[in-house]
Amino acid sequence: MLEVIAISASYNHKPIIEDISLRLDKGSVLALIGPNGSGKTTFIRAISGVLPLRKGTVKVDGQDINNMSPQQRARKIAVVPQARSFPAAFTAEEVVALGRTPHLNWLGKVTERDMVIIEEALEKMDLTALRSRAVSELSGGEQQRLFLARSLAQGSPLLLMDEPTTHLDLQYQLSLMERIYQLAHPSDDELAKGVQPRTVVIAIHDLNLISRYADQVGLLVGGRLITLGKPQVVLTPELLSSAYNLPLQVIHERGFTLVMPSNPPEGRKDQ
Amino acid sequence: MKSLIATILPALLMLVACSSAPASVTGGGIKLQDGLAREVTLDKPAARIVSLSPSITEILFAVGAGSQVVGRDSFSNYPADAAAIPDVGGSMGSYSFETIASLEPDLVIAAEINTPEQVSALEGLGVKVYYLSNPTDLDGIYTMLQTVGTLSGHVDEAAALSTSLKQRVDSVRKTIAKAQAKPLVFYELDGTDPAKPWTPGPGSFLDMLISEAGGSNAAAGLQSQWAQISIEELLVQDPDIILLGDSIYGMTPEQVSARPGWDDLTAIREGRIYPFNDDLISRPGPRLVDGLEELARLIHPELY
Amino acid sequence: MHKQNTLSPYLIITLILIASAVLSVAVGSVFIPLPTLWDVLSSAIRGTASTLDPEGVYLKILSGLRLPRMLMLAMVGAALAGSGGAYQGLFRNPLADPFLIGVSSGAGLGAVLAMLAKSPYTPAGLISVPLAAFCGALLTVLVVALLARVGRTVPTTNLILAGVAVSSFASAVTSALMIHSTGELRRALVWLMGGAIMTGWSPILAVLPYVLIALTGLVLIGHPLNVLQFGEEQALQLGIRVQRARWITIALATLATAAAVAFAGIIGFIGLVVPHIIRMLWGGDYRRLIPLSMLGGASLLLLTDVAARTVIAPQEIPVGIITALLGAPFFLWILKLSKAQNYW
Repeated sequence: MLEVIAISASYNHKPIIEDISLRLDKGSVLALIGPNGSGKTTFIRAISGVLPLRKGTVKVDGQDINNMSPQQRARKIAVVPQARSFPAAFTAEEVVALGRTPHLNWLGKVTERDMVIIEEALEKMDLTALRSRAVSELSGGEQQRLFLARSLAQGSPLLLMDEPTTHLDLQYQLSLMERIYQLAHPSDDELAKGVQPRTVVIAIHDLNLISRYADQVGLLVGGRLITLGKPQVVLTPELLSSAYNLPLQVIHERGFTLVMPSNPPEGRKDQ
Repeated sequence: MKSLIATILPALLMLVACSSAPASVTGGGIKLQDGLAREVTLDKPAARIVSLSPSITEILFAVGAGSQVVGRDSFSNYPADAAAIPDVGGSMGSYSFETIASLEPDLVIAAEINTPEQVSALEGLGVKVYYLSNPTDLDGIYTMLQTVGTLSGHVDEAAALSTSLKQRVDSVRKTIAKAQAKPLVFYELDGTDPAKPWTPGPGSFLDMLISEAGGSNAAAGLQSQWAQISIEELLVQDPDIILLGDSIYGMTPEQVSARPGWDDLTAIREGRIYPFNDDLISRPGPRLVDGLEELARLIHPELY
Repeated sequence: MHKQNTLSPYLIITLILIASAVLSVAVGSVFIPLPTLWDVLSSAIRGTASTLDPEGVYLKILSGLRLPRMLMLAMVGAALAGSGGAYQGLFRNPLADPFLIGVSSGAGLGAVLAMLAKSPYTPAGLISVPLAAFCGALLTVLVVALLARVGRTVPTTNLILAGVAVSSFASAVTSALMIHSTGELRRALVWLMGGAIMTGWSPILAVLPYVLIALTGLVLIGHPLNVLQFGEEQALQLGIRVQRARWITIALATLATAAAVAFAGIIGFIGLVVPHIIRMLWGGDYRRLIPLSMLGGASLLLLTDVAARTVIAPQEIPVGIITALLGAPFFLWILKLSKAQNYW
């Protein structure tokens, strides 16, 4: 449902990403990895429509995003930001409600149906008990869930996330990744109730979270997409060591694929 | 709903109409053009007058119309009788139009310190206003007196006053004609910044009075009517006499002598520095002649 | 955005507004007690003379002075507070006020230039000062916007910087003009301190259309402003036409403020303080904050004007001085209270 065709984009006149193409089916998770500066954030911004493309096209469900109004685009694409800067005084409920914006009129009037969707989003992210708390009173993990809930309420089939697990404690990282996976792969019960599988592109730093939660992995280095494929195919010592410029080894353990440096730390005994 | 609109609409119109009632125009009586090129007419001389400036209050009293003044501005302090008259505001640039309206004056006399907006606001209240411009020379004083005399019904007194003032002015001129020299005079209006005191410049009324009094203004070379002169320029000019117009604000000759660099001035070393009642020369009115006489006495003590 | 009071905020503020309006009309150098007030006004409506006001002095004061002044101040207060709230939302800055991008200094420069021109005492001449102030305000904001422009957008930082720079320049020129022309000095000073509120009914008719249009628009821009609180990029990603919303907000706020300033001079603090008070009481949902700020601004300005007219009667202190004197400590008090709760 997402087609990226040879896109290049710059930021402040500096070319950041070059000639990236990929296709993503509905109901899958694409993890975008690569060293800092490789263009992950720029790519996310480019396909969300906020960064103009120097070259190429992005199509969602067959439609060029450049031909869409901001409102149409927002109905197709939801971006989950890193929960870093936000207006402190909004309540959780209000934040999720604002996710309905692309479906609301100029006055922001919320209908019954909108209320139902907001409720579902709060429930799905376990935020119902926290609905009246101000955003600033929530923990890092809760805030990240909140922004995910907002994107859920937005109802967009494509979800873009930029480093959502940064600054989170491990338990929150795992539970977030789990929820993201479930969004792309709803259970049979949910499917029976009419829940649509979402498509997720997630730019992520932590290589060890990917193998269980991503259907595909894209490796970005220096603004180019070096490889795109299943986690086993991309998470290889050769590709990763060359990408990160560091000798790395890959270990498969209990269903997880773990990446770590191949040489033990120098000068340390007892290893 | 309709009846509500039917009540409110005429009410609004009524209120608007009340406020824009035109001043009644009658023939005969007094008809004068004022300083804003407006034509002001009165059936008969005004019996209840409000003055918006201290100079106008002084003139009204001088022509004998003191008892007709029913309201005056905050700064009107001369003559002493003016203090008893109701205050209508003005110290912060705005007057209490309400007070003025409630005094029900026949006429309000405004001066150049008043703004066109204030005149227009009073007119809007149905109050008659005459805007009295400042004189540009000594003869202008007599015109002012005549105008106020006409407006207040004291034409003869105004004329008599004008005559006596003219005599005094002529007397000063005759005395000054005998002067051998023309002393250089520095008149300080505001010495808050001792490096650059404020002084009346060329073209100002005081500049003209100093000439009439047989002196020459040290600030004659400056650019505007109200200007700052630097202490350096003063040292170059080295005036013969220093007059402190800011003595009414508490400035004393001792304070001035103590200013750094000022003791080089001849006038200070010779003690020819005098306080001066600024009201005498800053208010356009009959007391300008008092001011002129005082100036002449200070500038040419040898002739008096 | 968290308190849900049981009493409707609109009801409370409207009641306060009505009380302020009545007070403003009853109080002055002549106090008109309520029964007299009622009698005079209802007699006037019926076309009869009031027994309590035989010479019609009260009526003259009411219809000629107090009622138009009350309406003018209500409009000005609403315009300033509504615009202030909108700017605080647009710039996401608690220190934003309606004069942020140059309206006041532009209006001041226009007004002073018109005063120096010494127009004749004709209807055209008398309208010259407010007209010049209005045009000065609009032109200044236009210059600021052009200076701040990057492509088709006006980035917030650029706007604020350009606003500060242009304001300083305009103020400097205004000061120079004022010092140079001592004859008009007092008139200019009084205007710049908000002590020259134009009297009578015609200024009201002149201001009304601009204020009505602008304030209606600002009320309707509440939802986009809410979304904008998350930043422009997120707002765009949520489907808001960000640049259009920004331009519209700036245009409406400028129109309202320019009209207000043109006929009342520069009155500070209302636009800054009132939205904060409303925010503390009833939260920062701009759909509600802006209309409530308008009602609150009208009330506050009416009340400060009562103080300005009565504290040292018959002297009338320029309203801008009272708002500044009260505004500063009030703002510090708000700051202290706001630390206890998260309200921004």
